[in-house]
Amino acid sequence: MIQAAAAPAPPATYLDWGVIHISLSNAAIIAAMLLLFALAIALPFPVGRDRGAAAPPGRPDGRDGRRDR
Amino acid sequence: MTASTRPPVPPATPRPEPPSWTARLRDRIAHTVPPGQALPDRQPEYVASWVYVFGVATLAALAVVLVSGAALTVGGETWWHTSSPGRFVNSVHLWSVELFMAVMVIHLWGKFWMAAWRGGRTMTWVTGVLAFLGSIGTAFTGYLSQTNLDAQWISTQAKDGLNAVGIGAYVNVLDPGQMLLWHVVLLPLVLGVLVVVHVVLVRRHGVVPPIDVERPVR
Repeated sequence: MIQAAAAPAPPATYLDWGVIHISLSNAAIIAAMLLLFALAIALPFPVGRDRGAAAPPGRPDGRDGRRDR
Repeated sequence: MTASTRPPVPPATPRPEPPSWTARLRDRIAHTVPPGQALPDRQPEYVASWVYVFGVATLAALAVVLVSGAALTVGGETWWHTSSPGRFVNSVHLWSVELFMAVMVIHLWGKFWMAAWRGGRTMTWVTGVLAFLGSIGTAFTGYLSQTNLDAQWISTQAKDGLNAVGIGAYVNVLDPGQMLLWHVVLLPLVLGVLVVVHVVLVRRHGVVPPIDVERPVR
């Protein structure tokens, strides 16, 4: 088991583009994050019908994020 | 000796007792977040967007990181390397960290593009940036604490960089004891304080509105 824990992982596939040198898995993760960010902006957020009136802009009590004193 | 002609002095009125430190602390805590805003049940209309989800997703991932990390400290390195439950918890810890970093960076992108430091929220932004940097340090010391070949490789690569910037004597990445203690005690404490302050500031100042929704401040 110790032998298995110490076994080196197979070498990763790397992408090279000018000065950029990045593993394929890291590039895929970054691409997935960018896709998720774009979807979060583009997709509508589901809002239940039984939700009460929304709070006014700024803060739920109508103030605008300024300090209270 | 002559008699005094000065009018009699009225008895001094007792001065009110200065508030004790507990009363001052209680007052401070009560006024840090306005009433009803510590756990609000209503939010402005613009908060109904997926972009606003990533902050709380970061907190949820952090909770899994802390719980799985605590379980790893109970079992120890032989447990997380050699037993099936140990390897499972080890993987949960790794992947919750991956998720934590990913959603935190998406949260950062969203807040950057909506200029979330507006409306007196400078310290909210600053504590978020510091928590991000602290998370990188905590994750880095976690890689050094795996007790495997990966940890040895990373430490020998990192020592040259840290020595080059002159901090290698204080941050000795070749010392597994120091790195493990930083990972499980020091950096989580720093990160925890930063996250608590960040969340309290969000509740104090409210969620930042989109740029076109912000009203002029009088």
